[in-house]
Amino acid sequence: MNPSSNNQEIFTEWMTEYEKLLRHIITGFEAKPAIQDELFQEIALNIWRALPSFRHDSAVKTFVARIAHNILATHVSKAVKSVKVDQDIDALNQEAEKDQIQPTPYQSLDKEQRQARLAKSIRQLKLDQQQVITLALEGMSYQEISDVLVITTNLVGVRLQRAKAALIKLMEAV
Amino acid sequence: MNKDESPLNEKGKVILQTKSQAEPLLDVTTLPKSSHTKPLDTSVIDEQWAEMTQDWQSQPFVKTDINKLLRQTKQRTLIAKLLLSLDIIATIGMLVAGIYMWINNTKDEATMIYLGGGGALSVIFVYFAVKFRVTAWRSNCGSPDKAIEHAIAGCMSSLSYIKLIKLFCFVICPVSNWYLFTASQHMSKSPMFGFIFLNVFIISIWLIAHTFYARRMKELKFLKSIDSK
Repeated sequence: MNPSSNNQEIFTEWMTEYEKLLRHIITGFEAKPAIQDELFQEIALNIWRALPSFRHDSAVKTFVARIAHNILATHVSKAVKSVKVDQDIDALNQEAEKDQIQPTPYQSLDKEQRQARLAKSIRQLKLDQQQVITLALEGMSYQEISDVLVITTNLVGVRLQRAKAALIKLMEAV
Repeated sequence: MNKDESPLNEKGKVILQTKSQAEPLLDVTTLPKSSHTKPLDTSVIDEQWAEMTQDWQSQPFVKTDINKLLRQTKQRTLIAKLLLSLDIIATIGMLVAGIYMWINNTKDEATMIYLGGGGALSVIFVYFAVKFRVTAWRSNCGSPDKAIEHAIAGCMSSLSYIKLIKLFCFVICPVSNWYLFTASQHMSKSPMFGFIFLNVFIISIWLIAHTFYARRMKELKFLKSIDSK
């Protein structure tokens, strides 16, 4: 089997296995479906390019998540305009929601509303908090998160605690 | 408990070595002073966290056609490689043509200078294009925690590239006009249209580059502001 077709098989296998993880992570950074798709393709492209250099010194999940987080962190830090537009849209959505539903505790909302509120609140967090929270919500351990973000496990713990507290406050405030 | 063993005294025992180690302690010293801010109960956090995790992991998503994605990804990689190859081939072609004309003592000196000079400038462009792509590529495999630093580096690299294009416009403008003027002396038709087209084209490139420059500068300012926080 030549290396190219071998890479194609690995790529297909990885993308099938981690598509859900990638889609979820993207939701925590970007609200617009069209841009989410662009980001997914950008991540896929970078995984494809990085595939030959993968040396199995880390787990595939960590490798894939690290590439995704790099793309998303760059996207968030560059999206000056996009953030502004998002905030405008969010403000409009908030107005609309206030008209439709009374402020209720998180538990009393239906699943779809909770998921939408959760994603929206995550997008309002600071970048470093977004990073740890999206990985922790995927069930990653401190060690895995530290491998993805290349920070110490202690720092993961500190950031995660702060992020959780900030997230719950945001969820209550929305 | 011995007074010295109290957790309250732990802070005094810690020797700060890195920024990351310092962060947990900074949190203690920067506790909210406002009486309106109540710290959240950890049991409330844990309870809600379990629910959030369930909600997050059960989020629906649109399934991607992975084979189509693979085709698109390969196509994009191929196009990027093709564009870079074209740049390199064009550069080599210009240099080879210029050198060939020089060796053969051509009478068309204007074309020879134009091709040789253009080829030399193109080498600089290709160098920067490759450097820019390699920098962007490496940053995607590095630490996401340093994403802002990478973005700043990428932005600065991009600004250097744009500055080069703007500078190139100033260099190429007189050279091209001179070349057109020299070439038109052997023609019967008026070169006016050629001059207008050439100069409008160069001005357009400069303006487009300047627009991108202003956009990147705005981006850099924003990135530096979030990096300093």
